[in-house]
Amino acid sequence: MRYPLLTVFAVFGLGLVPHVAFADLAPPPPAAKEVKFVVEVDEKAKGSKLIVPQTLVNPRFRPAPGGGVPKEGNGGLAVLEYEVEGDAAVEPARNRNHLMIAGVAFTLALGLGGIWIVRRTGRSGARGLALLVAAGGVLAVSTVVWANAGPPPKPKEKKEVMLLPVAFDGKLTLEMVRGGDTIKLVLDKEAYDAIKTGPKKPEGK
Amino acid sequence: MSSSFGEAVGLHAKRDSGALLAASLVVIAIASALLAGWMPIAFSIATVFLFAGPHNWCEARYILGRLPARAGKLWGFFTLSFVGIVGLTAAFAYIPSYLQNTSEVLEADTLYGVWNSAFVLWIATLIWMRSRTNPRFDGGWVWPVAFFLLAGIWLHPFAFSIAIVYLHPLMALWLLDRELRRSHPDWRPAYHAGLLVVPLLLIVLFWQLHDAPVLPGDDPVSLAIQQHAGDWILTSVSNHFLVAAHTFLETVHYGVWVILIPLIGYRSKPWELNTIPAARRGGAWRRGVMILLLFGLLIVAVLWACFLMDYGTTRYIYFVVALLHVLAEIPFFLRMI
Repeated sequence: MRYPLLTVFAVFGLGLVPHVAFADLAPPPPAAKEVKFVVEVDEKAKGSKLIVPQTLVNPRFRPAPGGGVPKEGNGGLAVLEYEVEGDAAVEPARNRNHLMIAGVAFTLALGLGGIWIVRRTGRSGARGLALLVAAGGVLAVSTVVWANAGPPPKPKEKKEVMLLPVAFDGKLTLEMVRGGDTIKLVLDKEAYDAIKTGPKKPEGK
Repeated sequence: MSSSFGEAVGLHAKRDSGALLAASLVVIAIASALLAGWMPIAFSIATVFLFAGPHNWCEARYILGRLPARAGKLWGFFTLSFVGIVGLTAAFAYIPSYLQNTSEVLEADTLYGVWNSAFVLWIATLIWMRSRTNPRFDGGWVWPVAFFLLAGIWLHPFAFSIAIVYLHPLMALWLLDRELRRSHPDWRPAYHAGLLVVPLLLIVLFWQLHDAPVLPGDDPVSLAIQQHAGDWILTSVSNHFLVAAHTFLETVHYGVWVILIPLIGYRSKPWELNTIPAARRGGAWRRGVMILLLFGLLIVAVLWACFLMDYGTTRYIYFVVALLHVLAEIPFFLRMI
């Protein structure tokens, strides 16, 4: 019956691996990929906008509060709560009571596991005790390892910045839409006219 | 001489039957993986529509055939099982309506943390009670394991819920193994070899789909299926893989309940009540079992009709109510150890 305990230790340890892997280094940014791109001119538009299909940026959607099937909106599309990815995403504050309950449960698990192993007689009991001490030691050491310093600084690369001519300099609206596989840049009349006049020379410092 | 020849032929036939069972499992698994990987959303819709109701009926019929006619000394075990099954299902069904209430005090993660904790403690208590009845075993490991799980639950309340979604289909494979141990022990080596196809196909699905593009469906049903597979929490892999893996496991478990267990575990035709201990008590008990099974068939037909009328809502309600059968498998499984 020591196998269940061994299994739990193994699963618990594996569950902590991702935390170790990303303890101090941010996950790598997704690789660049080619996507379709279209520039459209809409003379009636009130402003320029960049339209990006959601499938190209892999957004996450939380289930609707209370569960169930998402409500149906215009055109049969689901109405969802959108969660921002990347730097703009704010990690929700963790409930400190949850951490406290987890700590108490973990302590009880270790305590009860120890009592169970010690009460077992014979060689298997001694082996189990050794296993518990070893597992406890590993967990204790790993917590010290996690209390780590930041990542080592990356050597600064000197890059020559090439200033390119500017075809358009202004503001636009960023829209995320469902469906489609093409990024669209819709230009209003003013922006289109600005582009037609030709690129401006870069303002170097 | 003829006796030993007869035994040899019998042994060979038993091994062939075991190989046939394993081959059936492999065919079901490969077909499920292919369809789930190729068109996960459509296959998920189809497989739940076709098998959700029937597999529950088959499961109820199988459990009835294995439950004792009288609880006897196991009265406490069965009472706690019943209270847990009904209570946990009712609480699970109530959580969404509580969360939609604007005056809610508890957050979703706290509520699901409490529910998951109650679930784990219920199972731990049942295992503990089971360990103290024949055939006995040392159940002292139950509480440390339960509290380890509780610690994990409170660190990541939703992760445990997602784990149940993926682990539940495997219960059917485990129950089939228990059934084989009881009725056809010679088939188990072949069955165990056949089981290897499940992790192998999961690895193949992961290899092929882990970085596949996001599933294109924007309608409420597609998104509900993606969320059921946990794509909102498991963001490091493509939701194409998640939906395919979940649909694959669901379909394999439907195949086990609808095809394999009825062929092996009923010991009679499904409509023959003589192999159901409760029905053998006669009189009102026999009528009660018959009414229960007929009512189950009616529910299957109603479920199909509701799926046709409003698939999304029916699927949601089904998966809330279906928790009942997920929970019912646990005490039943414990009695089979």
